[in-house]
Amino acid sequence: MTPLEFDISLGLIAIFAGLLGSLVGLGGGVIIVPVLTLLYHIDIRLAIGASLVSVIATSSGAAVLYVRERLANLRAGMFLELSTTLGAITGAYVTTLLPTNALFVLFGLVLLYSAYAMLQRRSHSTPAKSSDDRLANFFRLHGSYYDHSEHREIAYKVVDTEKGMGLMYVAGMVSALLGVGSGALKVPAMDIAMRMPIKVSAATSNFMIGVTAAASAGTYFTRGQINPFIAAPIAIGVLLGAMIGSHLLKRMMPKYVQVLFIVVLVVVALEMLQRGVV
Amino acid sequence: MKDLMAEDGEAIIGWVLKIGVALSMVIILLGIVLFYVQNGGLATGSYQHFVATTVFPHDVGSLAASLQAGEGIGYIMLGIVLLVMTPVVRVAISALAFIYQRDKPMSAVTLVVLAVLVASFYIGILTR
Repeated sequence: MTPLEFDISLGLIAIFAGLLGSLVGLGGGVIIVPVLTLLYHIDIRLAIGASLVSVIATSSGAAVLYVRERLANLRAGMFLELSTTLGAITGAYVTTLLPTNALFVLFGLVLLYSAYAMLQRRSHSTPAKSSDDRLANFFRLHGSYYDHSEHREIAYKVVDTEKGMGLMYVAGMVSALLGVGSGALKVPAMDIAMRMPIKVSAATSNFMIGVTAAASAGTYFTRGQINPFIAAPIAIGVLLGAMIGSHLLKRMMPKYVQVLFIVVLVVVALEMLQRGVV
Repeated sequence: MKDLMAEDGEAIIGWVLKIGVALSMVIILLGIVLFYVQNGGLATGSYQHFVATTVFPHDVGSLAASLQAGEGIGYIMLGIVLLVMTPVVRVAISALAFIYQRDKPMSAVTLVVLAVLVASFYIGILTR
């Protein structure tokens, strides 16, 4: 395959990845890294570097919507960023100690967890009406949002901030190690541990992903692991795909597509595990 | 400006992010076009070889030199750097907004996050 064909095919796949990712709620990274490593046989660290750039592109590009809708809790998000960015730096350092095989295995495991989480779709927590969480009260992390389907402003209190911070630290590490947005870890951390409304958790997570990825991207960049010939077409493609996807998002995904996606996730997870173990 | 920051720093943040992304994309595209023009279309050879052997700048000095020489690759890297900076700028503006709102706890938190972000670039150099 010539460089030109490489760029074009990569761009097209990236558009598809961005589209699919925005419809299903997973970032492009989950699709991009396996595609780059398994299909194009690119060094996994270059794949991760490129994926981080695309994660930043979609997060920054989509942030406008969430901020305008006032869904994202910017205070809680920024507070939790303390953990995610520190986790990201830890991860960016740890990755220099890990053999490539370990990354493949870890990626496969995270994919399996994402598939499992999608299958579960357990009932979301009800918002807390009062909170004696000292951190949340001191930093005033509580908030409210307007729920369009219920046609009212819903106020909520944030609880268990310390647990949330611990989970966010892990999410940051995973993001730096694997080049993904870690939304699959962040949303449950906010929704289930801290009892923030699911719409708020999802919006805040989308908002946070960019900052976390930036903390990792810095290290990959200066280590020369962000190759422009890979990163550029991917970033552009994923952003385009996500933009198209967000306009299509009005409709809910039919169930069979979600099931199909879960199957694909499991298959790819097994492929990645195999790469790591063999 | 000060009032805008105090009341609705969020609006500025969203605006800045969108412009940052759009600008970086334009620069990247410009760089890609320039690169193809300067390197003869790249319709031959294997991409593996190309990816493995083509040199690209990844620190401030070589990036500046590449841009001065008008290299397409320099512009692509510049666009990527801008893109990576958008969340950092966003955090900086958040810090300013909290400071204008006289919110000491959140100002401190945001400034620490900003410091971590800046530090991350240096860590890359240290762990090479």
